[in-house]
Amino acid sequence: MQEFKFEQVDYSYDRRGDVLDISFGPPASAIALQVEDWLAIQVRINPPRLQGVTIVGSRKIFEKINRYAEKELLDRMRRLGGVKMSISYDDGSDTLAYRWEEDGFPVPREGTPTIFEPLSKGGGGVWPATAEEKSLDNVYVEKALPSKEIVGLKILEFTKCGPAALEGIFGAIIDTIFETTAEYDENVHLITDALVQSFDWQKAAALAT
Amino acid sequence: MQEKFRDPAGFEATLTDACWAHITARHPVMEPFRESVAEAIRQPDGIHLGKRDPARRIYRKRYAHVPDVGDSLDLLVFVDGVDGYVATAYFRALSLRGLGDLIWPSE
Repeated sequence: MQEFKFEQVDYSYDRRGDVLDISFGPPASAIALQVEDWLAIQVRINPPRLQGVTIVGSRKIFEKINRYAEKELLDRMRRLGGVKMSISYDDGSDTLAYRWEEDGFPVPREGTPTIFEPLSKGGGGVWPATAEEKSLDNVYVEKALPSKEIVGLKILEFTKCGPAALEGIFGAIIDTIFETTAEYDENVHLITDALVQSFDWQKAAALAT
Repeated sequence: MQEKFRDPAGFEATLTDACWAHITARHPVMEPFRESVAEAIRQPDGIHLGKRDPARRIYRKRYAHVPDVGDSLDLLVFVDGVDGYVATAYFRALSLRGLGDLIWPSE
């Protein structure tokens, strides 16, 4: 299990090249998983773990995030102090699970009922589904009841479907932020909200101006 | 100090010490590969434009083996398409979505 503490995030911005590097812990040898040509996730080589994110052309990117956040998110956002994300893999069920934590406790607190819903592209089951839509087939979001706040994410059949599922999740989040015409269901928007509200975008945007 | 490299399309890129210091500070794995960055600009496998920012040139060069890093990696070098400033460079193991338009070699 890798614990992911947002408060350990460190930023470095090269103003001349307009490159923002975000690292989770001190810089270390890593190779890139490229999500878009302007966005790369840096994965530490040994031991393998999430090392950071590189954003090329961040000024333009954060202009868009700022607009998105100001128009659509602020009324729904609240800052979560001491947020952590835990990632665990269950060998028996071949399931990768992400859970949000707050102040050292899982969100929601123990005993709170949750439900799982599929993470899918909107549009009402048009057949045949595209490869991008099918990549989300094994992805489920966990929501607390009755608030329906997203508290986690599960990827089933991770050995077989994990890479495509991660691609689908990242793609959906990126499209939700930057391609406002893309159709995704409410869960994709909620996941995007959860990530964006956990990220100190004001600080990052200040660096990029 | 700065070095200038001309790509196969005749465009000149500039790598400054300040930029290299930034790259290696944030991506320590790049430390031994300054010459590889130069090679990726002078002799790339492909030159692309950025999808979101077409003023950005992205140089791509495939390496079958990179010592102490891994196998079958692409070195990507990001260059400002106006002033030629090398912004960053890193090794890519996997790409979820492609780069922008291929401008060299032309089809």
